[in-house]
Amino acid sequence: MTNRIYIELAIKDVFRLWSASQLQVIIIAGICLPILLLLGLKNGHVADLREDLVTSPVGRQIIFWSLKQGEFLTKEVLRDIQGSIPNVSLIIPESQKLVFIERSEDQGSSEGSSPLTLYSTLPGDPILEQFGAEIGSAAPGARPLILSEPTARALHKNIGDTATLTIKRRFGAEDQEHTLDFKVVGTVASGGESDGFVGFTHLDIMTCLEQYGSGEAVPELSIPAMKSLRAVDQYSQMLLVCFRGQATDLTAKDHAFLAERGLLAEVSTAAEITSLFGILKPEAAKELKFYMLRFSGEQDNPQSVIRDSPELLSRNTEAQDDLLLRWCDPLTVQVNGRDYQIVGLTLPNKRQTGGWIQNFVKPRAPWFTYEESTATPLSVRGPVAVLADLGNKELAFTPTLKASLQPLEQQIDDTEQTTTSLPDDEAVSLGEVSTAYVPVSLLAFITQASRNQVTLDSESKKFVPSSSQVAFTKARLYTATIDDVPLAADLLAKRKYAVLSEVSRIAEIHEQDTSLKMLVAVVALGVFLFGVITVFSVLVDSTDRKKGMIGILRVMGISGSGVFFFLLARAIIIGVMSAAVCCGIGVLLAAVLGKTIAGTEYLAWLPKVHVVLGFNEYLLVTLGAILCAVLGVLMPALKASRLDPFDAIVEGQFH
Amino acid sequence: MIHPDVTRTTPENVILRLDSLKHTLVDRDKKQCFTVNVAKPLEFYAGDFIGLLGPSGCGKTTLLSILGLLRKPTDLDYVGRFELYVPSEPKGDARELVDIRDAWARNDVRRIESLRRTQMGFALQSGELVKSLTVNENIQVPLRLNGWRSDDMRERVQDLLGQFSLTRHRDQKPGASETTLSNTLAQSRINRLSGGEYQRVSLARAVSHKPSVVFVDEPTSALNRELAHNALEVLRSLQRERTMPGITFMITHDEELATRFCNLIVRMAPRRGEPEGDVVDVVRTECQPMAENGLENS
Repeated sequence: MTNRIYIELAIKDVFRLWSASQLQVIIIAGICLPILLLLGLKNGHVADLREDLVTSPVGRQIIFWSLKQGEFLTKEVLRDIQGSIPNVSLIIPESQKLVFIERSEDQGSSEGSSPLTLYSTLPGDPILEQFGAEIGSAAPGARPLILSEPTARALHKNIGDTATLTIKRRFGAEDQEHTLDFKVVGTVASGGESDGFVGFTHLDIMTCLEQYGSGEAVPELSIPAMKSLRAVDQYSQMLLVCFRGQATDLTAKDHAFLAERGLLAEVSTAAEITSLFGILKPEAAKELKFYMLRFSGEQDNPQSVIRDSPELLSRNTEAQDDLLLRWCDPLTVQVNGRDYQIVGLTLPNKRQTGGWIQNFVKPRAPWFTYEESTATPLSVRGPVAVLADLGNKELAFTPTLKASLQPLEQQIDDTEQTTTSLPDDEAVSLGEVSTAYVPVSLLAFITQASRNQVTLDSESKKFVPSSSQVAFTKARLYTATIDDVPLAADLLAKRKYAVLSEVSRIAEIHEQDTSLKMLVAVVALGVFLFGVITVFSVLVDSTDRKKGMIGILRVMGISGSGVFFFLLARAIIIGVMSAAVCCGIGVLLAAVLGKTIAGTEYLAWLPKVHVVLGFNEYLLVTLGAILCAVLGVLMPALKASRLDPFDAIVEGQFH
Repeated sequence: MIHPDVTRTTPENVILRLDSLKHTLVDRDKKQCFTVNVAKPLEFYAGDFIGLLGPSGCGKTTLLSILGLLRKPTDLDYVGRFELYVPSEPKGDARELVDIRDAWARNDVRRIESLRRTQMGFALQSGELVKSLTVNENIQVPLRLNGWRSDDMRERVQDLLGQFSLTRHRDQKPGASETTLSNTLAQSRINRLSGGEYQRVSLARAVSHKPSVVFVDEPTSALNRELAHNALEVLRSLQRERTMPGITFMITHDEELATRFCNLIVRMAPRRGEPEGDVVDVVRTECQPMAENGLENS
C-alpha cells in the first residue's frame, strides 16, 4: 500500500509540476537520441551491405561438387544433403544440354533450327525469380521452357507459344534425332544479343535429356534406347590370385596403392571362394594365395563400384604375375525346393595375361573366357540350369531371360545327375548345392538388375543401363537466408565437397557489423556517462528544491526508504518519458532521412543516410534512458533519504 | 461535547510526559552551540491546549522538535521519563505507555517514525503543503500513510473541509442551490490558494488522522484575527471532541491568543549571557467558558 502512495506521488509530481520535470526529460532524451541515431545508422549501413546479398540470389547460393573419388551427385545424394543441412530451401543440380530450337519463319526445316543451350531449373529458383519467371511443375506431358529475352525476341516467341526443340544423340555408329514440343512459360533478362540462345527447363526434363544423351530409353518421352547401347558390368569386389612367396605376394606398397583407391586387400579363405576352389586342383591351395579386394571405410558399400580395370591394378602392383579377376558373390536361389547356386567365373585363357591360372584349373571345369563373356553373356554352362525362379530378382520375371534359359530347365525336372550337361562324362561334384556357372558379367548384371541399375532390353536381348542413374557433377544450393550460408558451406566442406559461395563477403559484413557495434558501444558509453553526470547535477538541484516537501513528508512519518523510493520512482517515470520522446524523434528521423515524399525529391536537401531502427534498438534506448535517470538520481535520493526532517523544516523556515 | 476526561489531570489522562531534558544544537556556520533545558517535569493531559511562549531564539521550536519526535535528544543521560500514551490496538479505547526515551536509546528509528506517523500531527509555520497535490490530496496524505479506507478518507476530508471553511464555489450561477455546486477548492492546486486557505489546509492536514498530539507553529501568521480564532476553535474542538482526546501544542508570540485558547502555558526564556533556553514557567489555567468558545461547560 505504501509503495503505491509513493508511486502516485511520483507520477503527480512529474506531471503536475511539468515545468520542472520537462527539463529533465529533455536532457535525458537529448542524451539518448544520438545513441539511438548511431545505432540506426550502423544498422542502416550494414543493411545496405547486406541488401545486395540478400536481394541477389548469389548471396544465398552455394555451388558445390564432390571431392570424393567415384561419388556423383545423384538425386538420392542431393536429397540426403538437403535433409542433413539446416535451413536449405532448394538444391538445383547443374545440367546443361545443347539442343536445337526451330525458328518460326522456317517451320519444319532443320536448317531453320538454331542451337539453344538449355539449363536445368526448379520452381523457386532464385535466379529466375529475380526476373519474375517461374518454371512451374513438370507434370506428365508438360514441358515448360523459359527463354532469355534476346532468344525470345530473335525467335519471335512469346509466353504461351510452343517451341519445337530437336535433340540428338549418337552411340557408336548409330545416330538418332527426336523433336519435342515445349511451352514457353516465361522470359528472363539474360545476357546480350550476341550471347547465343539460352533457355531453362525443369530439372525432370533435363534428367530425361541426360538419359537420352546416354542412349538410354526415356519412357517419359516415349523414346526407346539406342540399339547399340550396352550396359557395363560393374563390380564391387575383385579377387587377386598370386603365388605364395616374397617376390610374388603383395607388398606393403601394394596395399598402400590399393588403399589410395579405397580398396582393402584381405586374405581370402577357401570357404569364402568355394566356387573357385571347386574347379581348382588341390595344389592350388598350397601354391597360390588369394586376396579379396573390397572397398574399406565409408566406401564400404555394396553399391560402390571399382572403376579401375583388373589389368590396371595388376600392372601397378609389385607382386609379380598376380592375376585379378572380376568377382561377384555367388547367388543362391531355390528351384523346386532345392537350393542352387549361380557362380560367375570368367578366367583368362592360357594365351592371355594371367593365363597361368589354367595350370591349376581342373580339366573340364566349367568356366568362361572373356570372349565368351562378351559374346554370349546369357550362356549357361554347368550341371544344372537355374532359371525363372531366380530368387526375388526382377530379372527373374523377364520372359526373355526365362525363355533363353528354358532349354536347360527340363534337366532339373528329369534328373539330378550332374553329368548330363557336360560335354564329357567327367562329373564335377560340388556337394549338396548344385551350381550353375555363368559368365561373371551375367552374375554382375543380375546383381545390378536387382538394384535397378540395368534392365534387359526386349529387342536386343542385351542388358542396358536403367534410366534412374543420372548423376550430376555440380549443384546449386540455396539457403533460407544469407546468414545460413556459412554453416551450410562448412557442413558441405566436412562432407568433402568443394564449395563456392559468398561466405567471405558475408563474413566481411559480419566483421563490419561487429566493428561498428564496438564503435557505437564506445561512443554510446561515453555519451551515456556524460549524460549520467549531467542528469546527476540536474537532479541534485531538483532534489534540493524539494527539500521542504521531503522534510514535511518525513515529518509526517514517511521513512527514509520511502523518500528514496519516491525519488527513484520519479526518476524512472522521467526515464520512460524521455525514452518515449527519444524514440518518437527516432521514428520520425528514420522515416524522413534519405526518403522522398510522394515520389519526389521533396527532401532532397537532407543527407542521404539509411537509418534502420527496430524493436531491439528502441528497447535498448528505453532501458538506457531509465538507467541514466536512475543512476543520476541515486546519490541525491540517498542523500534525501538521510535528511533530518527537523533540518529540512528549520532551514529557511524557522528562526 | 467535551469528553469527560478533558483537562482532568489525573494520571490516567496523561498523554505526554517529559521529566527533564538537556538538548544541544550546533550552528555549523557560526560554530555556536545552543542548549535547551527542561528542568521542571512536564505533563500534558488529554484535551490540553498548550501554548509554548517565549521570545525568538529561546528554543521553542527545538523543544517542539523533541516533543514531536523529530529529533533525538543529544544526551539521554539528562532525559528523565519521556513517555507517550497512545491508543491501544486494536480498538483504541484505552491508552498504553510508550517509553520514548527507551526507543531513542535503542535507536529504534522505525518505532519513532511509526509513532510520529500515527500519533503526531504538524502544522508548521509555512505549512509546506505538497505542491503537486490538490487540497483534497494533501489532507489525505496522513490518512493514506495510516492506511485509512477510501470511504472513511473521503468522509473525513469532507468533514474537515467543512469545519475549516475550506469550501469555495466557482462559477456560481444565479439561483443555483448549494447542493448543486461542486467544491472546487478541494480540487484546487496549492498554488491557487490564498494565504489563509493555505494555512487552514495545513491545519486540516495536521489533524486529519486524529493524532494524539498536534503541533502548530504560529498558526495565525497568515490569518486575520477572526479567521485565526475560528481556525483555532475548530482545532481545539477536533482534538477534544473525540473518544480519545488529544493534545495540541501551539508556538506563538501572541499572548492574547495563548490566554484565550490555551489551558496550559509553557513559557521559555533565554538564559542571560548564555546560549541556553530554559522552560521557566508552566501555568495551567481553567478552560474558557462554553458560551465564549461554543463548548459546553464541563
